[in-house]
Amino acid sequence: MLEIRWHSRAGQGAVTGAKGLADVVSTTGKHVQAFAFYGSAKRGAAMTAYNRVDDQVIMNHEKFMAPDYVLVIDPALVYVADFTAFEKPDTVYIITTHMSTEELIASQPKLQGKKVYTVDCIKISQETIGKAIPNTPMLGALMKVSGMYEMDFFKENMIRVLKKLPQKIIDANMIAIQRAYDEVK
Amino acid sequence: MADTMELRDIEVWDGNMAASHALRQVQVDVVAAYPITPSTPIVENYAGFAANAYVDGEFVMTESEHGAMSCCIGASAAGGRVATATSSQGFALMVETLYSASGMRLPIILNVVNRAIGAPLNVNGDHSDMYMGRDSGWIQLDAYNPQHAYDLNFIAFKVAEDHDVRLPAMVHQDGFMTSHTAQGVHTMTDEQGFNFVGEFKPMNDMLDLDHPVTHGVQTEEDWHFEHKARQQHALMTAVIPKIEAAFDAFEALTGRRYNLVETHQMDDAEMAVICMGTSVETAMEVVNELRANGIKAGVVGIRVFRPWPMEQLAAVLKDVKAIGTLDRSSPHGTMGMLFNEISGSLFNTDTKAVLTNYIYGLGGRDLTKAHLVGIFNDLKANMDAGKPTTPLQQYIGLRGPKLSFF
Amino acid sequence: MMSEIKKIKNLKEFSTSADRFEGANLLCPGCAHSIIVREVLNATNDDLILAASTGCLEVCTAVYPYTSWDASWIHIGFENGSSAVAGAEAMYKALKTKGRLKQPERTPKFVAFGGDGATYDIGFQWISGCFERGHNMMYVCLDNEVYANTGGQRSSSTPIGASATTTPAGSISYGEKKNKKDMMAIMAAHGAPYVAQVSPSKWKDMVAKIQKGFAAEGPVFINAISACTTEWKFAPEDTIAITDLATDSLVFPLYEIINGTELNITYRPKNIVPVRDYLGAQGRFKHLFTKQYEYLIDEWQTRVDLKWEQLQRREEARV
Ligand SMILES: Cc1ncc(C[n+]2csc(CCOP(=O)(O)OP(=O)(O)O)c2C)c(N)n1
Ligand code: SF4
Ligand SMILES: [Mg+2]
Repeated sequence: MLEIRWHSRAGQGAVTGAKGLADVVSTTGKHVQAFAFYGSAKRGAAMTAYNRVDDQVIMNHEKFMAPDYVLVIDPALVYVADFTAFEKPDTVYIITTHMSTEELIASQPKLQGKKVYTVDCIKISQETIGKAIPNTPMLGALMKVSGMYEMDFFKENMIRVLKKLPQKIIDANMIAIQRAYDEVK
Repeated sequence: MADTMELRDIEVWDGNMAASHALRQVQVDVVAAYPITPSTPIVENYAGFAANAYVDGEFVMTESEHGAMSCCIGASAAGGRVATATSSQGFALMVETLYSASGMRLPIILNVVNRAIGAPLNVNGDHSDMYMGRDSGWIQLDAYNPQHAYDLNFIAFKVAEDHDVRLPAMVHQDGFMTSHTAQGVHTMTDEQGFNFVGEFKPMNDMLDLDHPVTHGVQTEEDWHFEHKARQQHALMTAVIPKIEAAFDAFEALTGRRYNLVETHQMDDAEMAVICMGTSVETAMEVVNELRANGIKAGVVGIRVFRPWPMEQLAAVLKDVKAIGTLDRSSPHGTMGMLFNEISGSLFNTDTKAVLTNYIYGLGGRDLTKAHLVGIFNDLKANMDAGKPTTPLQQYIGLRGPKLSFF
Repeated sequence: MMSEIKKIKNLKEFSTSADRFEGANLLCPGCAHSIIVREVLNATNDDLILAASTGCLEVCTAVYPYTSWDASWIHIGFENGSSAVAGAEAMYKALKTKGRLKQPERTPKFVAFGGDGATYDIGFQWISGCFERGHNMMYVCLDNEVYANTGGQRSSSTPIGASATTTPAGSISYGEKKNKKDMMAIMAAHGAPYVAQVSPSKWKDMVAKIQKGFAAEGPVFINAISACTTEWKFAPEDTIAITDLATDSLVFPLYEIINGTELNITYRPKNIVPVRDYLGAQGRFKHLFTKQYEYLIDEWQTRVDLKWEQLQRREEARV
């Protein structure tokens, strides 16, 4: 079982990102789950979303998770959210920030000795989609770090997932995904 | 004619989306609804289908849940397929009309996305609303995941609209844990889905202008009892065989099997937990892990909550030595519902099982695998001692000192 | 398909022209509810789908295993007769779209009846919802200014000074303290195409209004004065006389509001009767005829005069 936890602010698209990922993964015959903790949170509140991926039918509905990947799509959350909760020794962190990985670790010592990758999904989404919606770029970064899928396959399926959006926005998302894939370090 | 929608064999849907597609595919004639978290997306998705020509029935956004069910009752009595959705406070507001719908024998389908009932206000999933409905005369089916939320809707329409049944039915799913959790859902084509349920066959329809009917009469001590007795008789005799037949037909069509009582590793189980909703599946996974360590544990899930499958439960539990009943609703002054109902189901049998009660998950509080392991440890101790070694009722996952009552 | 408006020549023909509401019912002798219902039903030859809210009409006309209704009829509860008929109307539309009506060539009318309790009070939200949504239906309020079915408790339609069981007249109380809610204005404010106040004793005026209502597209509100022999405390044979006193004293003026703006007074009494005569004919106002409370009768008269003036000004100004 592969388990992923997203840290985001409500409105940044973590739920959509988690569901989009689940959708793509499902086309490969794997079993998926995507969910989130909501409450009555309004836009801007810190929140978490989750993915589970397995070869077996997923029966586990507990919200508790010891994640293999932690995806942080809002830069400030590494300072205010408990984003290392229930981490495992080999948990991989992919974090949105304008800093380099070294600078980030220096500013948040909790990350010392961890497998940390950084990418500026906020900037990428602003420059491509025109809005700070860092969810799709984060998926591009995840593809690179995890080696889960070939980029062509992933993008092709993301186009299907996003099909209700205007073509221009879909194209921009594809550029954003590719950029994050290339830029994550 | 409404447009058909091409679906993939497996769609990644959350429970709400799954239920909305089921309503679309059975071509409901009137949906009258009012939004409330977490069932709102069912209504929104359906509105989206209506706005894009995927449904051609009427969609009525009412001023309240009470108004929604009132419209559903009027529409159903008029003679056609009717459905709606609600949760929690909205369910509570509907309660008066739930009794009307079942007393008038109208086959309305209500998707209940289970949620806590305030105070304190809470939008998350527990079973308080589902439990509140249990004496209302409706059939109640319980989904454990989005696939079930989809499938059970078709089964609900087929059973409820059967002229030997003519009772409304609720399809329950856990708020957020199912309703907002996306998982792979095996779909039917629009044609398959519709044909499984078939054309609506009206009975005592107000719109048959040549045969006027009176719906919703007054009875006092002279006839009320007979009406209620007939309703109870239908629930106790006609409904279970119809549900089983629908389960069989559904399996023949899709290969997916449903049972009145779902069991996991119960053939040789020495101890078992009984629960509802998503917890059933989490417990199944825990049992798989315990089995790997040689522990003979099992799970019983209630699929058909009303009518209560008493005989079937007695049969699956007859050789078990310790049973934990897990209730996701505050019993407020007694034992949990499952404890009481299971007690009643086993009382006149030869069982020697030790029965205990756990209250868990209120207001969406997580039920973890670790909690379940702890419960099975309790059950093992009860089994070895041949009597309860814990208080009869305990709270699971509660902050602070562990509370227990009884 | 527009249905033809039924032609009616005289009262005798009118009262016997259809029998979709049977005289066999359990309403009090002299109850105006049954007269109103009959006049509404007899105003059209079209098929009817009816609803009633809990109240005298409902408990007295559908007592299992009997029914007084020879048209499809539904009752759910006290507050939701409007929604019941709205649901049926939605189903009619759905089945029409889908080509599944059994008699597609006929266009039934949808009518809900409710008491003033069901209308002014507990069912108000449901009615407002139905009107805002624009269902093609008529809502008829049987306004007897009291919860008659449950033994005479006050409603928000009960007028000042009436003694009701929950606002009884006593040594330090003259009964109801609040004036009747202006339901006509509220329903007109919904922008309903047709809103009218009717009296069963002015049957020609009433039939004309019911027929106008049936011809309108959208939700129609009818407020019908329903003199209640039991709770208003007058002899059963005086129902029509009391009703005439209500309209001729202008306590219950007859008028209509079209599309929420155009107000027409439809009945101008030749001889306006003093309000005192109307009040004096009913036991519920008996205590007003004492030294202590007589000033309330004058206040009544002033209120009625003002309202009449205001209605005339609105009619003239076409607002
Ligand atoms: C929810 C609810 N509350 C209270 C009642 C009790 N009740 C039944 S009829 C009625 C009064 C009816 O008054 P009205 O609507 O004016 O009709 P009338 O009997 O005067 O014609 C009341 C209070 C009820 N049936 N349902
Ligand atoms: S109490 Fe009044 S309204 Fe009720 S049946 Fe008698 S007269 Fe009619
Ligand atoms: Mg009344």
